[in-house]
Amino acid sequence: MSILIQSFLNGICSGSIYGLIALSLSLLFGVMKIINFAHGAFLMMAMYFTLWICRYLGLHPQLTLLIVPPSMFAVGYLTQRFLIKSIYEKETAREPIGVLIFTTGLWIFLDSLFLLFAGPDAQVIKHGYVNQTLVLGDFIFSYTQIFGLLFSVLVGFAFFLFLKKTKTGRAIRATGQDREAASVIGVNSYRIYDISFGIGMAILGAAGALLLPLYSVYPFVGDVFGMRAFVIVVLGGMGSLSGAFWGGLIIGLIESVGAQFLPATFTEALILIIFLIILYFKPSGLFGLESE
Amino acid sequence: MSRLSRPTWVKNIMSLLSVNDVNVYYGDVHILHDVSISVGEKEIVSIVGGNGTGKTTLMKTLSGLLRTKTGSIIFQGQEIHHLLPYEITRQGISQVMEGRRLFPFMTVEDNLWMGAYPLNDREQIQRNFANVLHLFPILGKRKSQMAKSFSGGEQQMLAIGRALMASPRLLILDEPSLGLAPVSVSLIFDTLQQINAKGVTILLVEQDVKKSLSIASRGYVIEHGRIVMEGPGQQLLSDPHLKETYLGI
Repeated sequence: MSILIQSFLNGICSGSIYGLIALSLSLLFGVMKIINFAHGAFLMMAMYFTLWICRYLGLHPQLTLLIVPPSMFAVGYLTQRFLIKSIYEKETAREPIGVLIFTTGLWIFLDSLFLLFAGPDAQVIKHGYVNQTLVLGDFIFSYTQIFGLLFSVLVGFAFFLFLKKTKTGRAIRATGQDREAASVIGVNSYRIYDISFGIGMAILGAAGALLLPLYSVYPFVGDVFGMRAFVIVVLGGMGSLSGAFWGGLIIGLIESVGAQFLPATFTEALILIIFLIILYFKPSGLFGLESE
Repeated sequence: MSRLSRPTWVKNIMSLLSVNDVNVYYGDVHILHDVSISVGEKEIVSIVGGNGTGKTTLMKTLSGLLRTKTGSIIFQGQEIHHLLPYEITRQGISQVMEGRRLFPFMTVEDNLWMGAYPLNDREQIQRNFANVLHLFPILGKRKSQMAKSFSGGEQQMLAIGRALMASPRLLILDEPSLGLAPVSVSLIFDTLQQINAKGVTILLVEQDVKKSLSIASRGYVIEHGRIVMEGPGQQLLSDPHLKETYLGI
């Protein structure tokens, strides 16, 4: 029983980080109506940033959270501003298919770039903090897991507060709900896209910095998490931000609890089977299609 | 008043907005043909016409969502036809779009705050907020409700309120009566007169010819993308062609 509870708690910890990855993907979809196929690749980039900052600057893994999210904000902001925007402008009258193809190209480009410069080997952070554990009665947690859970919830909460309470947050929601109407009342929608892409990447950067102590990084690591993020976003309901976060927790739980009963490879299949069953009964995802 | 001729009094009005020989296309399709209108300070000007005559195209051109191929649009002495929609709003033009286009999953209050997006002066925003709630008390009573839960008439009030939050000099409304119950239509038109009395210039595009021309100081009739008649509202209403075509008299 205690093993089950332990795996349940582990699931919540990793699920909260998945929730962040999916939240950032869902933000881009909700606001810009684009599917960012390079999402996993950007996560991989954030994980390499974290690794290099720890390795070459000798910073504590937790302190990388002060550097990686802002750097990823800049990466996202500039990518949108100088690469995606011009494609988007030409496709204002229809679904941004060109952007979709562009992000697919970017995914392959980034994977190859990091393969070239960082090599194919899986690398981990070597730091005492990574192996520290906390024993609570029968349960053992790694510090990195608990910190990951707390920080993810904090980031998620701060992000929702930002969307609800600030002028820019409201403009992001308004643009997601009706871009044309938002521009007619005075919102520069391309600027909102720049900021949204930046924020999405900053959240992804936080997820990367929280994931690295738990996993190793290699050039294709993003493919696994990226695919999982897609499953979560669709499961939670396309465009639903809270759905993305809850979907992350659900997938984390299935993965962790399922692993107690099934071989690891089957857990992956179990995630997709449950995903298909839910979609069969509720095609709009668990939390509907309502934009937030 | 006359058909296809421009009386001298039109030129004498101090123009806040003037649209000069504007041609607009959707792809290869020529929608607006040499359209010229002018809106004077503190006027209510109404553009009437049937479905598919180019009214909404003209509105979208004024808000910057569509581009002119030739011709110019001048607001307060400045050319605005090259500007983007958000830049035009910042010049002092607010538009209530056709279909109201509220943010359905935002509260009434958030929709109104969004209307004040171009402003930075908090006191001004608070004043505008109080004025809008005074104009439409129902919005104040239901300010934490989602916009999508409102009826058509209430949504129209919210859409007008949102447009007023930006302290516009010119308020443009595209078909504000569309799909509303007659009682709501009357209320909306009364409110537009109140707004105008406070010094806001109004440009109104409507299918409800009788109601809109009766509150308008001047009107234009648009057919097949061309302005075919112009003149004071009441006089247009008594024009035989207009009576026959739009009022069925």
